[in-house]
Amino acid sequence: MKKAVGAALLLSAMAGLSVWNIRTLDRFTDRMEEKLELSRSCWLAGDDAGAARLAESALSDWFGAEDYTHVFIRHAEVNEATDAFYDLLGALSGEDSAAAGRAYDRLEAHLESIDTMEHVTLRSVL
Amino acid sequence: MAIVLIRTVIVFAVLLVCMRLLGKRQLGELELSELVVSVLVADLASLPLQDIGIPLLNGLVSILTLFCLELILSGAALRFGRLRTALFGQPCFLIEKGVINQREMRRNRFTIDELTEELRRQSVLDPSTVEYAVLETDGSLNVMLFPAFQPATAAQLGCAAESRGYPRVLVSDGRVLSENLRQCGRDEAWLREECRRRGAASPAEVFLLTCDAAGNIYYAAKEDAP
Repeated sequence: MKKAVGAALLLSAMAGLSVWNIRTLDRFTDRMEEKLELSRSCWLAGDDAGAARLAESALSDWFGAEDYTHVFIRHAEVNEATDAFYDLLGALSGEDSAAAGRAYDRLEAHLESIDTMEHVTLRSVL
Repeated sequence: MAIVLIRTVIVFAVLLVCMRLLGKRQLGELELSELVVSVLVADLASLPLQDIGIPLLNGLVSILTLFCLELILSGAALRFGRLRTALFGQPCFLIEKGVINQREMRRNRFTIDELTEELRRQSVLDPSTVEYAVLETDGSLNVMLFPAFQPATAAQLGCAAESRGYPRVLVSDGRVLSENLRQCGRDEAWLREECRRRGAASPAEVFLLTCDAAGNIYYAAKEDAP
């Protein structure tokens, strides 16, 4: 019975870690999305340099959390989001407004997908 | 991580129910939950090894979840009889007083060929000599013959039978097992002398040498490899 109690505690600890992970990922992606929204506002106002600076800052945060992302998120998702960051920076430096708009959308969709993937919903479980 | 955990619990529960419905003969001497875990663990363990794009944590979480569920289920089954019956079923009689219980056979999806095969495996050719054949919860079949067909024991024959004790292996393929030698109360000098008496220059030339509590020795010399 001691083993069963130990197993129940371990299972509870993993459930707790899962909840922590969902919250951490939520906060992390929210922070990223906020920075990207600010960057998009600058870009819409014609401030491409300010937009690029904020996007670079978001990318730097993204790289700063590499230890976390590679442990908890599938590496393919991480790589796709990183590629989307570089596409956005490329589009901003090329001053191609249509491409930049698409790059913002793509990157935000990636971050949203990473976030919702961990949320416990019927769709994600099944 | 939460999704992996929940999915593992769901797959474990579904497999448990499905395998329970499949009947005992599928188990192959494992308890139901052990079989489910052994079916799942091998695949789960290999996934993060084959695909380095999957975080190792995903594999570990699912394996640990299965391990915990198995421990919790077996612990709970130990404590609660009804849960034990619901999970693992109960032993059932496939043969009772020499009569095959066809209803139980159907219920456990046990064919007559499988029954006769199991009986033959236990050196029983005639089902009418079987008093009870019990299908255990782990899928194994235990056969009890009518007393008239059981081998006579020394007690029934009124013979005195002395235990010769457990025969310990002292030399295995030329290697001396010192701990067993010590437990036998013998030493290497005695072993060398026993080997010499049987024509071996040293224990290295012995394939197997055992000795029981009564001092009876079994000796097999090592043959030259062809």
